[in-house]
Amino acid sequence: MSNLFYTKLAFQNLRKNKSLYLPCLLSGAVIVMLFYILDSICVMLGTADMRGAAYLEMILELSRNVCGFLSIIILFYINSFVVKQRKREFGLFCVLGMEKGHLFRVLFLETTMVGTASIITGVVGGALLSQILFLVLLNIVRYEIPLEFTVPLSSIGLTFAVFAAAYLLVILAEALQIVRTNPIDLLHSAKVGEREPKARWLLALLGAATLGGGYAVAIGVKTAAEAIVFFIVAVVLVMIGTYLLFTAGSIALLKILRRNKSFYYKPNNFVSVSGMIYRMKQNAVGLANICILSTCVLVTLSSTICLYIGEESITANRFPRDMTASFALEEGTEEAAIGAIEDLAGQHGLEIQNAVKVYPGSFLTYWDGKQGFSAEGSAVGAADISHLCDFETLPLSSYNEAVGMNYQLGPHEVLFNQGSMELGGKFQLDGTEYKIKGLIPFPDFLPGKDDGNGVYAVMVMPDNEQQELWEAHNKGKDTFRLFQYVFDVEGSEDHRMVFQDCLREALVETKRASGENLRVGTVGSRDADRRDFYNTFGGLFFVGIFFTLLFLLATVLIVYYKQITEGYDDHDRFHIMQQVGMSTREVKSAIHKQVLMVFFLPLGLAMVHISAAFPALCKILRGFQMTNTRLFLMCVLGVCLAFSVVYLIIYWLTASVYYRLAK
Amino acid sequence: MSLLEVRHLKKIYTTRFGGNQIQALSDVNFTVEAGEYVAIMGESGSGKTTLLNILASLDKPTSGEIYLGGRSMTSIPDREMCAFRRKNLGFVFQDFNLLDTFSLQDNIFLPLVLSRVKHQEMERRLPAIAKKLAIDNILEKYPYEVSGGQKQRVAVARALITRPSLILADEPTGALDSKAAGRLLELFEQINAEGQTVLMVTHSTRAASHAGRVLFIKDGEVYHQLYRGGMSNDEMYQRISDSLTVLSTGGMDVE
Repeated sequence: MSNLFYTKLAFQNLRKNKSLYLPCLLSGAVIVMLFYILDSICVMLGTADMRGAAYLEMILELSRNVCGFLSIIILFYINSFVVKQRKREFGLFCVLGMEKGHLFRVLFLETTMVGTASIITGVVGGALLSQILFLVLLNIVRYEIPLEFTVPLSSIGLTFAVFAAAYLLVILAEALQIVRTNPIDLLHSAKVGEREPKARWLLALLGAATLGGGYAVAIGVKTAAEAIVFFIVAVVLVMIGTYLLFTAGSIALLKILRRNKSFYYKPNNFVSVSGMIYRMKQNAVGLANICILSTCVLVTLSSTICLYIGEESITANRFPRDMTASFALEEGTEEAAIGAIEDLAGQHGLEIQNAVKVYPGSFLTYWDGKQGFSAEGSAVGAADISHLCDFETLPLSSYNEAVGMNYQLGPHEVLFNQGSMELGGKFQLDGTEYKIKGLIPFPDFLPGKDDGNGVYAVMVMPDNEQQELWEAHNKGKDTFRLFQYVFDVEGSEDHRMVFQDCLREALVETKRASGENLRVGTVGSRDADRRDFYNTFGGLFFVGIFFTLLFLLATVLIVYYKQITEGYDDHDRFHIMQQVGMSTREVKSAIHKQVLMVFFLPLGLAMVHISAAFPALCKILRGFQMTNTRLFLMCVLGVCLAFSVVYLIIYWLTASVYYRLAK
Repeated sequence: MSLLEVRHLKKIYTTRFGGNQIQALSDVNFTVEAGEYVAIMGESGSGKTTLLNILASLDKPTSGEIYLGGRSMTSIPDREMCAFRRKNLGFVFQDFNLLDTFSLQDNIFLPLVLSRVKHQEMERRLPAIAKKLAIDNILEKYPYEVSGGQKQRVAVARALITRPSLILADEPTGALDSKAAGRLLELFEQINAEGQTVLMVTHSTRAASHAGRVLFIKDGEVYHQLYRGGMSNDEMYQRISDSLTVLSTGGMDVE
């Protein structure tokens, strides 16, 4: 009989604490759902037969593990909060004669009920949603395969196992909390006068310093390679800075405000400042968490969206024409090779347009920052990547043909595109002086050179000089001078893909037949690149959406539970202030102001964070060949705006709970 | 003219789910002269808290009039009410009602800050009051750091610092031990002797025995009143006890 009693009690407790447990259950269900969806999509991908599925599966599996780990942290957070809120109730049970064992039994039953409900709801919801999301994923990565909707049993099993273990851990943590406290403490825990927090000046200063340092590192990076390495350092510094500023910095600032008597003793400031000191003491860590999670959401979403939208400009940057065929040829056999390619295109009913044929030659040099370049300097290694100059050389004849001009050059005269450098008419390369006869725009048939690392130059020079220079720079290296045939193909994408495959086949075949005659051959195309691109970044984008959902959920929960605590705490304050002579309206506006400040502080700081990270993020994206800064700026702004709107909605919804409690 | 004049005060509460009406005050009449120290006594449910809430303008009467310093309080519009209350009334509550987030000094300053008094003026007023109430050495502390008696004296300081024409005290000794209660009552006497008008609601005979006049409320009406005349506190105590005995045993309408 007593068994039934406890079950009943547990059930009633859940019902009475609806406002605490309903969000707990819902968020649990969402977490379980996200995990299940990721895992089931992994399984579905595993059975689907398509190019790049293995890679996608790997990304998804990795994010499933990270997602699972984060979920458990979130579960712990929720439950520790709920138990804290109910301490008084537990104390009352103790006073009424329940032993700790009984109390634990009730808690155990409650958590089991919530956990079971969450897992079941999550799996059922996940099973339904996973089909839609699988479709979304296929759409994002642009796969066209017949859809097979399945509910993999292995995923259900794994989800149950992981979350049963997680809830068990949560229950253990609860037991530990009960064991450690005694009933009278439990009963009075809510009534203990809060001690006023001390200002910790040193920590506040340290927080400002680390945050500033993090910003400086993020803003100071010069190259993509640097950005990737130092971004992590910056992130860690900014995180530490954020925590310290929210915990110590905010209180230090408020205390400074309080010392300024003519500012402090004004009706509005008086109540706000002293109220904020306590609020910040209780909420600092939660707010710092919100701030960091919000920043994560903003960064993840804006960069993945930018890469995804920027696909066209990225592939166009990598492939200036539809296709690029490059191969090492015996001198003089170029026309024959081109003829073969044109024939093959003809057989596929395709027409080749805008073709450019060229022997480009590229090599790395070290730029001294003025007018000197040396090949040897580049071998020193990663001394300073920002001074490495990527030289691309073109023979004058091919260039003239490609742009339809008739430039003439004397010895050591060049046409030059200097990228971001300012050379001023001449420069020295390995001791030889070259005269820049004219500046040219970046040739539209070359792949983009700006990868965010170092500088680049394109140099058009007399044919023989170009060949000699390339040979001088590649002496003793096992490389061939590649002939490149860059061209557009008129026709549908599917036709082009078939053509590309046949061309590759033909090159391999020719190579086999001719022995040494045709030594290396590759064919790349914008279409193939695009498919790879969607495969890679589509997957990342999809995962980005998942993590955004998870971070957003965590943010919502923290905001919601914070509102509830605030509401309970402010109830008494509200009452006293009215009795002492504040009008209802004054009290309301004072409290409203504080609550607004508390909740929009993290959002504001998150925006500052992403502004500071912007230059470094631009560099990193440049490393992915994404050079369109404007597009990225639009993405960041758009995401910030959308996030603010979502945040505002969360705030409004939860604020109504707050006012109900505070009144 | 009297400082406070209460005429035919009536308060009827309607329960939330309609229908049931509860009469808390039926017809209360009394006056308080400037400089008086009046205690209002009555059992729980006699209507004394309702009366105090109406006097404090935290609640509105169903009918009747209250004049404070000749001005009708029922005619003051809502938005001026708070300012009026801050200026003319000082409150002392049973459970102190100090804000935990403020130091004791800031708690005392609270009503002045709300009235936008200059900071220099606040600091000018404080020392004399703090000294009189013997709290001058704890002003920097916080409510959770001091005893109940000290908290209540801070609350009295908060009531006095606005120089109100009337101090309303609601069971001020209710949460104090007998020693602290005794000390507080002496303080009230002293403040009153200096000219401050005090109106105290209590059901403690001892607290009432310090007053110059005691009004007894029963079933929403002033039932009886007692003047000190030349009596000592002890004699007063005896008289109040006798009245209370008559009040709760005599008459037909005993529960």
